[in-house]
Amino acid sequence: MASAGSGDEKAAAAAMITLISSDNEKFEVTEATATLSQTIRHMIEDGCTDGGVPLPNVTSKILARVIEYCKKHATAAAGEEGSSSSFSDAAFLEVDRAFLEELEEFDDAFLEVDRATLFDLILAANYLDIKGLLNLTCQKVADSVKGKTPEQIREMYNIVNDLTPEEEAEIRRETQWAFE
Amino acid sequence: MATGAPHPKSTVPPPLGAGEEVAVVAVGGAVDGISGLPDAILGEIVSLLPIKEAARTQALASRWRHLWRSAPLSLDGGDLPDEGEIFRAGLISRILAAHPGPARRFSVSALQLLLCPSAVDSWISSPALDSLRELEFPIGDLIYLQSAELALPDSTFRFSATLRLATISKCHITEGDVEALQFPQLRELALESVRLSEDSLQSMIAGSPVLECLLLSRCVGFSRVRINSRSLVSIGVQSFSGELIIENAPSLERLLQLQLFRDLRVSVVAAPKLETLGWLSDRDHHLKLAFGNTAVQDLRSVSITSVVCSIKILAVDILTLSLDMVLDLMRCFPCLEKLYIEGTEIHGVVNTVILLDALISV
Repeated sequence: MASAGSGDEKAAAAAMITLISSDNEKFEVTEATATLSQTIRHMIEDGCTDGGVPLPNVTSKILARVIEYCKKHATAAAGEEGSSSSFSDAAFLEVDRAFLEELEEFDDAFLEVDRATLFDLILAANYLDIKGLLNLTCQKVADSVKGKTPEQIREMYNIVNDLTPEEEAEIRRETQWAFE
Repeated sequence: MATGAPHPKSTVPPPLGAGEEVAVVAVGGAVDGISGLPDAILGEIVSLLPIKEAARTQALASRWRHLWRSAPLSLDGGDLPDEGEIFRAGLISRILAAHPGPARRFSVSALQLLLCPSAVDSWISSPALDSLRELEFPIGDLIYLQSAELALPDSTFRFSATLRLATISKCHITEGDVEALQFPQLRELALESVRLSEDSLQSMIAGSPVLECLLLSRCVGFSRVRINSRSLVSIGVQSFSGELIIENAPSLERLLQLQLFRDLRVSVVAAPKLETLGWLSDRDHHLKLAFGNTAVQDLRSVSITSVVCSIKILAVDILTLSLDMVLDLMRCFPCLEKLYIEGTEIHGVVNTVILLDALISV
């Protein structure tokens, strides 16, 4: 088994949840880790997790990565969810800086994956409704196209330009300010 | 434990985007990367781009053509070319005319309020900004401007029902602006160099039942702040001379004075979860701090009549560090886990961090 739970957590067996990937691998995680996923949180609230949570849209390879992310971030303060605003980072959390830096380093290393994996992580984060992971991975894609021309972006991501020259001219005319 | 069928229940809620595409990619691996993502996610990615680049994605392919307009608008004036605020104002007007709304984030320098107040008025009223979640007027260079006190656009608070985050700078918030207003979703509020009355501030806090972060920086017009909030987690105060009374803040975890040497009197009546406190200084004779009956007069003679057990992280500014002083602090705050010490004699701005793992008993 690809059980991700460590031995000493077994004591709290009541709070363990079994996640089942599309290829039928089982992962045992703490409830605190699992509930970073709003999808799973709702299932727990509805009492639908006995016998494991089937996740037919997520492969074991991706699920293992997602769990790795959730474990790390579950230890972060619960209030972290979704707050990425400027002044709380700058001022309030200054004294927690070391901790935040460590989390940032983890996130950076976590994102060192090939593009196919990145897109699979996005889909999994969306499906499991893990806001932090979805933001993180979408931001990675956004960063990768920053400063690139439409031509460069198409080439980078194999996007076929099916716009007619007229349509493209129209878009440029409508939002001329963006192309100046 | 339980084996059985791989899909015993079909209670998994559907994802945000198109379900079929998700399944294909997860099972077969990403063949055509970005095009395998549902529109909702592509829109999310587009709205994370600086505004001009976001709009340019319309020209990628027919599928992308409508994404920028259908995703919430996110417009940060700081992303626009630096060719002067007047030029930027013209550009912002054109962008708002091109997007149908709703908007997630709108951030323009407070300088716009000074230079182009009528333009800002019309932006705030624009349908492109409907349902705005984050509104920011960052102070920018106006921080150096002593006198200016700007008027907020009349319709600023039309977003009160949807705002999650608000930063307001250099403005005068009148009682009429905020009286009886509700901010049911506001989580973070920063007021910088804002003039407002104690009553106005009080009614903003009272009207924000989920407010978690409050930053009051260089604000004037009041000499007392009384905090009664079930939701506030962090309070930051900068350059405020007066009385800060934490009357009842059951969720409060962090209380930070961001600038020393102000005539600040802090009184914590009820904040059972308060863990982080800073900055205190042995050179700052203005600060008065009291926890219930425990008065922390200054760092040289912390009163030990009773102890404050909730504090785990303390930041202090100490000119000359002595072990006695640290021990005094440990007596006053017996559950300290981290003590951040900054002192001018220790490399100027470099923080010296002393991590105290073990607790010292009194």
